[in-house]
Amino acid sequence: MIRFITTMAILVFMAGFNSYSQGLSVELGVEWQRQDIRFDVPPLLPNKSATTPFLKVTYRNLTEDKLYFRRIVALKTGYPSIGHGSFIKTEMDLPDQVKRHLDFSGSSYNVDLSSLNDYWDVYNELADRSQSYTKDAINGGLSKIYEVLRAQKLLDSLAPDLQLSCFSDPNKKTIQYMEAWNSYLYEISGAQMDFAFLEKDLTETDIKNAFQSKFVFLKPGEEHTDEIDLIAFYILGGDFTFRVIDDQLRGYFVGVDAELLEFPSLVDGYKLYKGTFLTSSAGIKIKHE
Amino acid sequence: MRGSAYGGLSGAVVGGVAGGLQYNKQTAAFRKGNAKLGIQQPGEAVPITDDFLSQAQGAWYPDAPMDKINSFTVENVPAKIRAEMLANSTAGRTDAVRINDIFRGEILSGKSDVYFSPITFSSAKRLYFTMGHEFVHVSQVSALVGQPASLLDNNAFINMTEYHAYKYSNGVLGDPETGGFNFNIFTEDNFRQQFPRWFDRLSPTNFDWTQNVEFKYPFR
Repeated sequence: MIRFITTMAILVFMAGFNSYSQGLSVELGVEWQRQDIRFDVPPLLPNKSATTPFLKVTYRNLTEDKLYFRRIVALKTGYPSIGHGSFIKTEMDLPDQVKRHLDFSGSSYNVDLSSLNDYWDVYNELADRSQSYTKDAINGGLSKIYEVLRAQKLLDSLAPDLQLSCFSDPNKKTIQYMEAWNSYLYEISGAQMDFAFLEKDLTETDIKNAFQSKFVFLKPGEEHTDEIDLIAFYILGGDFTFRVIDDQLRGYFVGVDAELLEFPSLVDGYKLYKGTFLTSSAGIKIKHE
Repeated sequence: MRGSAYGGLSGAVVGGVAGGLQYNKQTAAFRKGNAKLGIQQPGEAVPITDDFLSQAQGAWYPDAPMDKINSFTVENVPAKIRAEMLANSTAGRTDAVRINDIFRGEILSGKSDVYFSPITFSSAKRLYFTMGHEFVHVSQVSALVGQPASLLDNNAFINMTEYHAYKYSNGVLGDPETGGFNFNIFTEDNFRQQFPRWFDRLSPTNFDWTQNVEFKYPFR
């Protein structure tokens, strides 16, 4: 029913030019893994395991120093954050919207990852973004899928006997998304963790505690790999090229008033890494028949 | 006892008179709008055209922020968005327009695209409710001009803006749809705590066009 045409990983190393150049590499690759998920959304089959793609992001410290830096491929509750920026007026339960998703097979998309954004940016490779633009429709589909997965993960810890209607655990009662949101999820937005909402410099304590997941800490020669579930991309179909568009780590982020808010130069003996890094891109093609 | 009984009675009288006056005003506004648009009954279907959409905007929301809108259409909705709207029974949709800033990444231009589904034209009042709801979003996006687009990529932030829009279309216009929100002080306090900088700034009470009382409540 489903044919995976190809999975390809292309390493394209880029040279840097400052004193810390090539002190860090961020390599992307795709790996298929079998997972047992009771996610009742086509083309997944109810109560069947599925082989789905994962994006592997490997951060490698190439220096003799202990380094820390902002995570380049952002995650939220373990899933990608896909920005959609659309306001949609419907009374349909979110899981039902997810079940009625569109198929994007045959279209080609760039998936831009950047330390400037908390969100992944997915757009048709033919789109003209030199002027003003709106988000491609695929972002809404991806975002909704990850939102129900994220919501269910939170429900599993807050109300383990409940599930959204797109999940098929026979031992759980079904709850509507907004009902779950009103009762359990409304306090857990993660807004305080988004750089877009911050209005002050992060302290060493912030980075060691609430913001730890936003940063990577590496000893000399050490590497760390994040595995990111691409199940939403698998469900919607399409050709995707994942790439880091900005090969530079800055020691700051831009606040809501366009002010530069700086990271501490040292956290627990780890030096803040600033400058360019080596990187690669990875591609995946998914077509549903 | 007697005092409270009198108070209750006088309150009922005052309330009844005020309600009657409001009803007459609403009816007048309703008839005026109907006359302009050729609508006989609020529940009747209206033409699924951009021309009618434009006329209806002029009649129902004459002060709407149309200068903040790039596309305002039912006829020229991009194919994928139209398909998604039909699949999800979406009445209306507002997409924030972005621009790329070399220094800050994506930022909001302050403009919006507003799309309507053909199903929304099944009744005049549904179109009226949806239009008012989407105009709240248009004004919200306008208020966020120059801000990082990632604000609107946060689902909780989107929920906060939807809360305002549904509270307006449900509570002020009379739309039966609530978006699943509980309109109460606890929800508001939570949003205000999560987004202290934005909650009050994105409320419809800050948008001038919502103060046009002449055409408020025509379908209630």
